[in-house]
Amino acid sequence: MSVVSVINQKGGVAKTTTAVNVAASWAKQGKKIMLIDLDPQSSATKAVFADRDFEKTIYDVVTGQATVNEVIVPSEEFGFDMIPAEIMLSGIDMQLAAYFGREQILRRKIEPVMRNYDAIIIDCSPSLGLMTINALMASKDIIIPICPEYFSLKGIDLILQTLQNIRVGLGYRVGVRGVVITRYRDRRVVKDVIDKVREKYDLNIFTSYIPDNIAVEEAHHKHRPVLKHAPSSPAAKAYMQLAKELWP
Amino acid sequence: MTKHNPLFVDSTKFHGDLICTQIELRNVLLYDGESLLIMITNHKDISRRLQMKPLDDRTYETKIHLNHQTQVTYRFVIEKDGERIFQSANLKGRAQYALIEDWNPCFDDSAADPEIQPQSASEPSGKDLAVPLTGTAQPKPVSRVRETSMNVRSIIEKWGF
Repeated sequence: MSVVSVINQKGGVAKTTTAVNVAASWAKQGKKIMLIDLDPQSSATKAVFADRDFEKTIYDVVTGQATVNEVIVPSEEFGFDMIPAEIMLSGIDMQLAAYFGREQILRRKIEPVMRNYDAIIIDCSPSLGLMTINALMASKDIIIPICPEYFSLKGIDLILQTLQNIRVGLGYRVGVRGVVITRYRDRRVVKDVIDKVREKYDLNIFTSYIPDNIAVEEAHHKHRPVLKHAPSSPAAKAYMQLAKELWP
Repeated sequence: MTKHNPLFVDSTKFHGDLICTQIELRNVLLYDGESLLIMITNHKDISRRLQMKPLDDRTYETKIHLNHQTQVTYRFVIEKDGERIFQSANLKGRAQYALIEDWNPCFDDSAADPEIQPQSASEPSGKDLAVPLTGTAQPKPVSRVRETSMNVRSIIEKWGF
């Protein structure tokens, strides 16, 4: 069993798309998977369940108003279990600021169900707040999706600095499983950025690049994983390949 | 460090609680016979000399118990045959779970070391790593350091200046 967070403090790098489709690919391979949405924007929740309303979400678990078992929702279409998010998460930092052990709430809350799964994926918010720290403290390692563009390098710097701050200040070492290249296009400038990432950071870059493919957006609209919506599309094949590379 | 993010402060510890701190020095290369030490002074002005052990080719580490979030000052020293040949500047920080630094030798001989006091019996920190403070084991005055470090060829060869 491993817990892995999909994180990048830069927005729009396909964090949610990567989390949802990797989880669906692992589920298709017969693994028991849980996806936790920790983003107040609830993009992963909406991608999987459209506009369905949930009485209880991860917010209720973290604030002690529900147990983790009460909020787990299975998705037949995607093949995994999910803990949905809601907008209330955006104010949670202030609620929990004075809480003893505030940085390890999520880890303690999900512990009872961890043995039920082969892997748990956490879709993080792009902001650095208490919930992101909780996600990292609950994770063995992280996956960093990046769009190969100029600002991506800054995003990686920020994440590595955050991991170092967690090690120094909280005494917990989070590993980096690797960097996922998303929205890949066959352009010179894109290749230059990938080369720069290779040169600058001692990080594993997964060989399955996720192409910029309309099938991904269509799949979100249909609330299906891309590997079901368009199994022969380049993005579906890339996500299946990436899921194999990512499996611990 | 004057600023620190409260997100990265362990809420389960109070200021002054005893924690185990891992001290890591990166990008340092030792030659045969050389040893790397850290001289660290805690918030009560108690100083310790600890030998650092290799973690990988260019990283050395040691552990010490310190009081959470209290001020510490420390300096890294490379010695050979009991003589100090390189040292870092005196660094300041707060005691957290890790102190991570890059090796950066300093050639200013005006910065004196704090007086090293015997280890307190009540302090549990890394007894096995503590270097005994006998008369002969004391580091030589820094003026001798300069003499040694002025061997330009050895500096260029070792640090690529």
